[in-house]
Amino acid sequence: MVLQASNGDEVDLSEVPGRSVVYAYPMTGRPDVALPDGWDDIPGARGCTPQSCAFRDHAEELAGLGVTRIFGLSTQDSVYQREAAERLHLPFPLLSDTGLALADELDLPRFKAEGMVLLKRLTLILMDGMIEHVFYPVFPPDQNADDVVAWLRANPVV
Amino acid sequence: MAEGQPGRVNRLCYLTHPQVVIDPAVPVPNWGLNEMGQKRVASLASYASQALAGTVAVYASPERKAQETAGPVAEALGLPVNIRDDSYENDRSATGYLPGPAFEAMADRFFATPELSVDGWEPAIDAQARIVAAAHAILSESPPGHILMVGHGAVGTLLMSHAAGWAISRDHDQPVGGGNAFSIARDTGELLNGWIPMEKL
Repeated sequence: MVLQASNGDEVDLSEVPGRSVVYAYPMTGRPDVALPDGWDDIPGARGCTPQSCAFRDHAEELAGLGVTRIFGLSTQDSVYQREAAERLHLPFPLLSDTGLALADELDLPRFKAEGMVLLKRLTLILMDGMIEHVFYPVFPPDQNADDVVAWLRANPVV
Repeated sequence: MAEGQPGRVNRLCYLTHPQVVIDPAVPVPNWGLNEMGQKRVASLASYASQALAGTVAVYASPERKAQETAGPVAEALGLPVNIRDDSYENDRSATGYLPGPAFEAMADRFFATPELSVDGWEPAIDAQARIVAAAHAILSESPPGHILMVGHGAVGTLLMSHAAGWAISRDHDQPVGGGNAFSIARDTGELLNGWIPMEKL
């Protein structure tokens, strides 16, 4: 299953070699666009930007722990994701699952807001394309990268 | 953060500098932002008129990395950068640069024994008193509106802890990478929000 990445690549997560991290998130906000009404009151909706920034700021540490690739995953299209990736200076791509193909295949949890279907926050550790560990629920979002680092330290690649 | 709106609280936003060029050959106060840090500051500056609307004054530590953070943002807001000589990072000149693990161990001790000088570092309680006094002076001399104060992680954590009434602890330290912010209400001095990345301002 191929997903469009914010950097223009097409990514098949089942073909990514080594250990990779995929964090699914609902939706990053934009400085020039108001969030959906009641966004902050939806459990688990807030915190996508801090979560992404935390993975950005831990990227070198994650690489040192054997992570070959990091991906964000959401249901926004690649144009929307590209703005976020560039504005936040993410050193990894965001993957677009607008058609919910991956979400349906893995039965990923989701919710609706203002007619949009959004992924609930969940993080996967993959090894050679196979799911090795799942973080769910993920809370607080800005702690997720630290939690992944701790798990990787406890479960080094042998 | 627009000034003067009904129900809106005038605040002091404390922003830490983002990523720096770590150069053991250069005194720490003279370190500048690295490429990532510069990009993050440029991004904030590009929408500072929205994110920091209502800001009436910008203050910065005398350290280069803080000024390189404050400068582009202040320019975008049409404001000068006021240097507060007493708002520098905790004085670590006794040891100078320490490599990563050694620095982290010292930082742990700095927060864990706040009354003590750890290997010549400024004690945390002294650094806290200094940064709190600097913030109070800034608030008393500034016109009504929001204030942006640009500085550093350790003294920022100490200022935030004071505002929140927390004991000094590294548990309240900023997230990895720097470029984080918290806000204090100008009138009450209470903490309005803890650390958020600068991209969420």
